[in-house]
Amino acid sequence: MADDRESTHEPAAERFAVDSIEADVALVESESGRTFEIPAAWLPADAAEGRVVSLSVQRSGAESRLICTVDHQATEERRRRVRAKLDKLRSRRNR
Amino acid sequence: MRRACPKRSLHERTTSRFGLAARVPLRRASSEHASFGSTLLRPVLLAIAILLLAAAAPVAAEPLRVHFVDVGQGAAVLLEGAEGNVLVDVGQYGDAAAYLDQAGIEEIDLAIATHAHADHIGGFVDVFESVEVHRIWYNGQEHVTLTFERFIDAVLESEADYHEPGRGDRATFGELSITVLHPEGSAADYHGDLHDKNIVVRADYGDFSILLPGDAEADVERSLVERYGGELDSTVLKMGHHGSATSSSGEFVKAVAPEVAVYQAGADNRYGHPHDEAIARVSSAVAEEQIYGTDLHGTVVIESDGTEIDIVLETGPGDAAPAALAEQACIDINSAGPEELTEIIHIGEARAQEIVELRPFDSIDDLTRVPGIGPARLEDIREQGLLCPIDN
Repeated sequence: MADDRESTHEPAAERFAVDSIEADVALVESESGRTFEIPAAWLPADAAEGRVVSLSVQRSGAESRLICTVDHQATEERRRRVRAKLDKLRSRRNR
Repeated sequence: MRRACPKRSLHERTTSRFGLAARVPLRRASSEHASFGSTLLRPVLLAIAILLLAAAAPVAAEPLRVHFVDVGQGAAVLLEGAEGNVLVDVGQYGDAAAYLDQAGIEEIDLAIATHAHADHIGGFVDVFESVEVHRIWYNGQEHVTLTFERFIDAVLESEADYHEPGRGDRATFGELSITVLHPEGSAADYHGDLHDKNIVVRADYGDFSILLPGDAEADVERSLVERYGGELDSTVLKMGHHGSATSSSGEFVKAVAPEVAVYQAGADNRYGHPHDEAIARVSSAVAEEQIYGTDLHGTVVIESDGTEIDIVLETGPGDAAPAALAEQACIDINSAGPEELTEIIHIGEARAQEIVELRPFDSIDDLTRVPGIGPARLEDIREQGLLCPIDN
């Protein structure tokens, strides 16, 4: 149903991690761990493997648009978390 | 790194899921080996050569079995040796673990995760749950997927020794040795393409050798050729990156000069693997009928005692069935459904549909009416032995 509010962003509904991009196919992974092969053209130009993208809905009057952007904060959080685990493995290697 | 194989002979054994089997001799050794054989004929060197060969190329009591496990669109290679099992990548899901279970493999002495893409490491969670992994090599590069994080969690929860290997690192299990050719060392601080620092290994077993480049692409292949040149020469090449055109570059294929090539790709995958360009480049070194793919042949197993190899297609532990069942199981080209038709070699979904539309077929030779099926593929279909005879 049409919404006559001012332009708004809904809260980000879902984040996807970009596992790989090859030619015109991207493999992305949802927050539940499911993977999907999608056209790479659906991703923003600055998306690359190893980055997290967020999908959000932008509403402007009666129209809604799906917005996909690179989520730098989520990307860095994931990297930090994985780095800590890899560091833990490396320290175990030397025990 | 490779010695010439003085008495190499190759055999192909095609085994359907119902246990039908045939053995077909493949071509003799390459020109390099023929040349080496000529040297042996020189009378002065003959006695010395025999002694050297006896020492240099022992025939192992137990063959090495290299399983290119059909994991769909992904990669998983098991090297099953008498004194150690090595697993290189595991696909994305549970197929590799299921295969190990069926094969009765309970321990992996060395697991190698070539790089962080899901289609190579996703299956490790199941592998760590089902078998004991003693040692694991990973290049150390970070990735942001949950699939990758769960892989790391599985390693952390295990007792496996963890190592980020570099060029020249080696592990040996009796006659089987694994040597790292790339990358130069840990990729922990590397933030570029995940394929750039993909772990490339070479396995040697007597005079048998196999090059496993994972998803290494042309740039890495070029650096390998510059560093190792003709030393890359290997009996078997696993085509890089699922047979993508980004890999199996001409100079690399020339340096490896394989006698057999295998790629791992899912049937009708969205990436178009294997790419025709890659197959064409590999075909410059290997007869096309000696290029095997998991999309066409299912799991491919190469057995070698160090002096000769057998190739077993569409195999799987416990897949043999009574002969009576095998006889009933032939595929009637004039009545089988499209899905059943795709069990035939070289028949994907598109060709299966063409076959349905072009019926009836008066003979198996009549299959050449199907676009893309020529005499060579027709011969493969005959050799596979799945088709019922056609009565006129």
